[in-house]
Amino acid sequence: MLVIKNLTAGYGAFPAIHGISLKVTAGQIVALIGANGAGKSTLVRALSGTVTAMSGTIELGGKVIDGLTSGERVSAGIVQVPEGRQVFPGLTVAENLFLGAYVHRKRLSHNDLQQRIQETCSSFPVLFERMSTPAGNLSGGQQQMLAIARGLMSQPRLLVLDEPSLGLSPSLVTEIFRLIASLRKKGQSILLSEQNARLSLAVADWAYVIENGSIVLEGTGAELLACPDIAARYLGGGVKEHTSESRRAKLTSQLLPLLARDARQS
Amino acid sequence: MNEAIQIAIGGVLLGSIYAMLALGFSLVYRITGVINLSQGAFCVLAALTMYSLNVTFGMPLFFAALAAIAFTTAIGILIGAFTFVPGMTRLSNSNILMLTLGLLTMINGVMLLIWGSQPYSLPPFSGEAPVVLFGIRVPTQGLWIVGTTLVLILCLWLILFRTNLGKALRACAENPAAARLMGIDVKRMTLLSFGMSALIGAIGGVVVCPIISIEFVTGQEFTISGFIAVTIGGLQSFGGAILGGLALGVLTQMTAGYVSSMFSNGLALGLLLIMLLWRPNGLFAPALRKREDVREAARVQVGIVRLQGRQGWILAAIALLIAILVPHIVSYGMLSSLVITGILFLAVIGLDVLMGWAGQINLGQAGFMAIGGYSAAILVTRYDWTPIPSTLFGMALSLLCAIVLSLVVMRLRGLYLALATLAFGLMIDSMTVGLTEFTGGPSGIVGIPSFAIGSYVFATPTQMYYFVLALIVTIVLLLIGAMRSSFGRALQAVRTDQMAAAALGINVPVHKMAAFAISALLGSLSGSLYAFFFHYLSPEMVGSVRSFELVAMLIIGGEGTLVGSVLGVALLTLLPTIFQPLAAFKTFAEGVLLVFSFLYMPQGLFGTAVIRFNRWTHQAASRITPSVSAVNRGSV
Repeated sequence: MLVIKNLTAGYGAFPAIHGISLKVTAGQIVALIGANGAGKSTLVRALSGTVTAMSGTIELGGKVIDGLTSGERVSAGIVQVPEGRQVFPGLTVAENLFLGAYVHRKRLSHNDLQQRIQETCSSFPVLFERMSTPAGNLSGGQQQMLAIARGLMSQPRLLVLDEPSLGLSPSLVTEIFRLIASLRKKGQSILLSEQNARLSLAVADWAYVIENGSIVLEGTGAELLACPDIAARYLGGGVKEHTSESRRAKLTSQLLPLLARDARQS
Repeated sequence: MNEAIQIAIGGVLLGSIYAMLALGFSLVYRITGVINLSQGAFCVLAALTMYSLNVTFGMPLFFAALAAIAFTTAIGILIGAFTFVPGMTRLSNSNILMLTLGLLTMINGVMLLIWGSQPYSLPPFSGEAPVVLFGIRVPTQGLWIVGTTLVLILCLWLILFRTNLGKALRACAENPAAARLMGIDVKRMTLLSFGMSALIGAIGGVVVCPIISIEFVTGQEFTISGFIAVTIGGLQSFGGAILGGLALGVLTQMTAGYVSSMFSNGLALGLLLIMLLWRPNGLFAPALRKREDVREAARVQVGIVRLQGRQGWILAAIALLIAILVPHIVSYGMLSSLVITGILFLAVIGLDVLMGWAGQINLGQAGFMAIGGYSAAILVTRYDWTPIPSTLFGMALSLLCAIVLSLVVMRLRGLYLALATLAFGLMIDSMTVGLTEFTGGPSGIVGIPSFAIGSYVFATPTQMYYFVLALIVTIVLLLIGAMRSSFGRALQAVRTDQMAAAALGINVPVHKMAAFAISALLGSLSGSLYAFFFHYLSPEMVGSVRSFELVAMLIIGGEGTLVGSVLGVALLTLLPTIFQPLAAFKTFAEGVLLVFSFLYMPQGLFGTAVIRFNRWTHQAASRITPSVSAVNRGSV
């Protein structure tokens, strides 16, 4: 559905990603993993049009979108949930959600919008209770939920999640990844850019590893999890990372049964 | 009792206007995080346009009002699209504030050219006879004003809180980057808010014109009053803006009615200072505050530009040589203008230390000129002091004021600091006009002798020229030394990031205070010399308009260069002398140049020239020796 061909983009005259090609198939979660500064965020920003592409093309459902403004891209069906949540703190939760559907404001009546909030928030029950609270008063985890829900309000064909686990406590991280898996089950296509490689690979159908602005490896989540090279570099394994590695392994071992349970229930 | 009620009604009417203006301020601030100082000018533009349409072109009053509002809004949108919106992505928040100051000056200048400086007034919309309500006489125009204010408030509230457009506008205020990702056109929203504030200003101007006579400078007064009102009420709250406006209106009318109008100005400004200290976010502060000290990366100021090493000294020597020879070439009138340039340059050097190096906005520099000027003038003419002690006395007084003021405004940054210094300048204004027995009031002090050291009198412009030149050279050399020491580096650190500077162990308050003190001392010195040179001193020579002019001179010449601002001072002082017929364009030119400098030449004339020169010498050098990697020792 999303096809990126040979994309080069960056800041000023300096490209941060070089000739990246990748594909997202409809209904799948595609993970983009890489270290800090590898170019994940630049790629994501190039998708939403906040960084302009220097060369290459971005196609969404067969339509070239790289000349479009950010707003037109949202209309075309690609929505980015930015890194660090970026909710509108002084606006209420409901107002934040309304703004998620801003590009459809002319098509949707007030009742349509209310209905859409109901639908979207069925995955985020915690938001229901806090509809009239200013978003700035929510906890970090709730703000992340709100940011994702806000992105879903325009019913995008592709949801781009930029570092959704950033700055959240381990239990909340598990919660967010469970949520991502459940969105996929509802048929939502997702491009997931994450530093937390293990959890990302656990939920992803397909994954790309990005290093120094280029894609160095791709495969199914399971393949990459098993790949020794990846294990060494992104899943820890060195002595230094021993503790964080064991923590991540524990988190994943918590997540997998939960995912399995979710699967049984649906 | 009846009288009190009548005065209170007057206060409510005036307060309604302030409230309208405050609403406009609050609107733009909430959407863009910027105070739009040009707002008052749109009031006056609309009022004067209505006057012309009605009186000159014979349009019925009502249609003239509508046409004037439409015209002003259109002008507002045009100006916004070409200045404010591009500025938002390029400039830091405090520079945007100055940009709007430039717009205010520019529009004032245009109005001065079209309508001249005389006051205008129009008949009330619904006849002169007042309406009697419960035995109280209310002018019909008052009902128009209050009604319009209410309708305006209601419309704004509906738009902002009940429409998609309003939500989008508020989203831009909260987080422009995220708003963009939601598909909101942030630029269009910025322009819209600017246009809306012009519209509000225009409506206010049109309805108030029949009760207040309007002239081109009224815009400044409107801006200041609206500004005070919105600070009292709280920038983030519409309710606060309205109450702040009404409170200010009633309070000033009451004091004007029972005490004196001079006292009412002082009271308003005192109130502003108290509010800034006690609750800088206003009476109705929002639960979630906007941080004032963070800047987006793209909007950080540029670095300080310098000539390199020896070249700097060579060029400085050439410039000095020219400066020494000049009196033998130019005419007598021209030489006087050059002396004025030099005197004002002293005040601007001070401003440069404070703004260019320490990064603190000061909109009240002329206040220190006034302290210096009046101290000298009063002591010399009334108490027979000699010029030097009286000048030093003025400087000591200025230093004292600067220390007190900087202790008071220590906690304030950016916008609020600008406000506080503006209030200081305006307070000095009202004192120079109001303390008639001391300062001679609006007509000023005459018969000030020439400056003298002992028995040597600097009577001719040539003598004064060399004296000022020597003074400038000494001060500039001293400051170059200071700015190249750790003190100068600490000031730059404070300018770039106060929090990081504090984390490095720099005592931020002390450095700010030192910069402020240097600025005040030089301002005061300049004011004293100004008085001695003119043999005359009146309030408008050292008033707030002068403060704005000094800022404009600094920006046009080049911030953070110490010597560069002389170009700005010379441009704005000498051009009107050289092209006498163009003198009327001065205010306009000042505004245009200020806006242009901010948008296209952020380093100013000097900075741009230095960058060109450095690039050129670098190219020339690399043509001779391909690898030039000499350490660039900074100078000048």
